[in-house]
Amino acid sequence: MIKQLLFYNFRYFSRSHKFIVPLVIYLAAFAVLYATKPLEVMNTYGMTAMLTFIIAVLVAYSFMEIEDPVQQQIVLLSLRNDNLYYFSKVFFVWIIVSIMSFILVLYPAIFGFFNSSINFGYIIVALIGHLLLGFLGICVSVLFNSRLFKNRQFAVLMLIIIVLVSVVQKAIILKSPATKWVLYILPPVSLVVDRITNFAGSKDMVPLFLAFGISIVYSFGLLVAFIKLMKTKVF
Amino acid sequence: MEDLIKLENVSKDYGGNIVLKEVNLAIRRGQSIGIIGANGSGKSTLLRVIAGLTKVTSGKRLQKNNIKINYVPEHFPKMNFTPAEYLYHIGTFQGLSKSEIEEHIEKLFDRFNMQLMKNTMIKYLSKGSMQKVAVIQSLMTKPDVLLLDEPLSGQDLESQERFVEAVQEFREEGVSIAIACHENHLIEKLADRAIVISNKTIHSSREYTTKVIQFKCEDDPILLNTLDRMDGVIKSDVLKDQVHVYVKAQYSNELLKKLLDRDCYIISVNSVMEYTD
Repeated sequence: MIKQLLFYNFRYFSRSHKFIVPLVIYLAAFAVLYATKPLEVMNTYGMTAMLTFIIAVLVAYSFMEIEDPVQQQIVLLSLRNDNLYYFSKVFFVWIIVSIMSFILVLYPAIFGFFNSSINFGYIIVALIGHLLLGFLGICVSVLFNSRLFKNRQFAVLMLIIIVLVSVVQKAIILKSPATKWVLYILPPVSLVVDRITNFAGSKDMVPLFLAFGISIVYSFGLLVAFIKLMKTKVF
Repeated sequence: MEDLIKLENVSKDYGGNIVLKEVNLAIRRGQSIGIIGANGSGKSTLLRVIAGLTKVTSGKRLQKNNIKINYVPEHFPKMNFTPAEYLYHIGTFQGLSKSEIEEHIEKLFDRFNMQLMKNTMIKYLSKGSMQKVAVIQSLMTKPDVLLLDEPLSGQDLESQERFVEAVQEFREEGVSIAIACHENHLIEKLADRAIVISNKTIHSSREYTTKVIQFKCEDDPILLNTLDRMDGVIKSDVLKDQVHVYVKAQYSNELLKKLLDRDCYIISVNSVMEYTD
C-alpha cells in the first residue's frame, strides 16, 4: 500500500506548483556553491548538509499544504490506516530530498570540485549526514502544517526562527554559553554539520555516530509526535 | 439490530462555538437514517462525528472494530486529477486490484453518464460533475456504513435517479446509510427513519414505518374485499376509483407485487412519518 500512496503523493505534488519555490532555491544555492573551485571537501559537505536541511523544511512545508482537507478525509476513510497515511507523506518528501542530497554529494566528487582527493568513506559520511538532516528537516516542518497551526503567520514565523536558530546554534552557544541548555532542545542541525565539517577519518567515528544517533532519535521523536497529533487533532 | 457506531451525549464545539450539544444516536447495521435540518444546523458536523473524522468535545463515540465507512462530502475539492486517475487511486486505497478498479469505474462512468468527462481534470468539471465523482468514489466498494452529505447537489435528474438506484442496492445488501440533505423525497426514498437537528441537537426522530400505496384496479372486488386481511395492511380507503392502502413498510414490496400481478395501476407510493420521540 505504501507504493500506491507514494504514487498518489507524487502525482499530487508534481501537478501542484508548490515544488517550484524549493526547487528554485535548491538550484540557485547549487549554482552559487559550485560557481568556484577548488573547494575544501568536508567544509563543502557541511554547507550542503545544512542546505539539505533547509530545502527539506521548505519541500515538506509546501507538500503538507497541497492536499485539500476534504480529500484527506476521503483518503483516511478509504485507507483505514492513519499511521501509514501520515508516514507516507514524510517518506515521500524524504525520497525527494534524498535525490537532491545524492546530487549535492556526488556532483562535486564526480566533477572534481575538491582541492584534495576524496575517498569512499568521506562520501558515505557526507551522504548519511545529508539524508539524516533531510529527514530531520522534514520531521520539524510537518509539525507546522495548517491542521495543527490554524494561525499560518505564527506557524511560518515559528518555523523560520527554529530553522535559523538550529542552523546557527553552535555560534550562539560560543558567544553566550548560558543559552546552551535552551538551545539543546532545538533540532541538532549544528551538531551534525559540525561533525561532518570536522570529520577527518576513522578517529572521528565515535562523535560522528553519536551526532547521527542524536539526529535519528530526535527525528523519530518528532515523527511519532506528528502522527499522534494529526490523529488527535482531526478535522 | 447491531450498533455499528454509537454517539453518547456527544457535544462538539469549534473554538467555543457550540455546533452539536448532547447528541445521542446509534447507526445500526442495515438501517438508513435521514438527517434533516436548516443550513448551518450541524448536519455536516454530525456526519463527520459519525465518521470519526472530527474529535468530539465531550461525550463518547463508540465504533465496532474494523468497519468500513465510505463518505460523500458536501463540497468535493477541485483537483489536478482526472476522474479516472482519482478513482484509480481511491480504488487502490480501498484494496481493489487494477483490473477490479477498471471494471468498477467503467460501470460507474456508464451509470452516471461520465464517460466523456473521465479524462478531464476534476478542477475543470462543473459542480454537478464533481459531485458525481464524489458519489462514484463512495460506490466503488461495499462499505458497512455509507455517509452522504448533500450528495445530489448540482446533479441532473437522471444522475439523481441513478444515485438513488445505487444507494438502494447498497441498502438491500445491508449497508447502513446516513444521509443529510434538503430533498425530502430523497430522505423518504432512502431512509427508514429521519432525525431533525435544530438548536444544536436532535429534536425528534421520525420512523418511516408505514407506506401509503395509491392504486387503481378495474373490477376486482375480490382484491378489494381481501385487501385488509393481507399481511402488513393497516387499513384501506376507497376514494372514487382509487384505493389508498396503508401498509407496514416491510410488507410494501410484497403488496406491490401482488397488485402488479393483478394488473393494477400504481399511482404513487409514499412514506408516512411517525414521531417516536
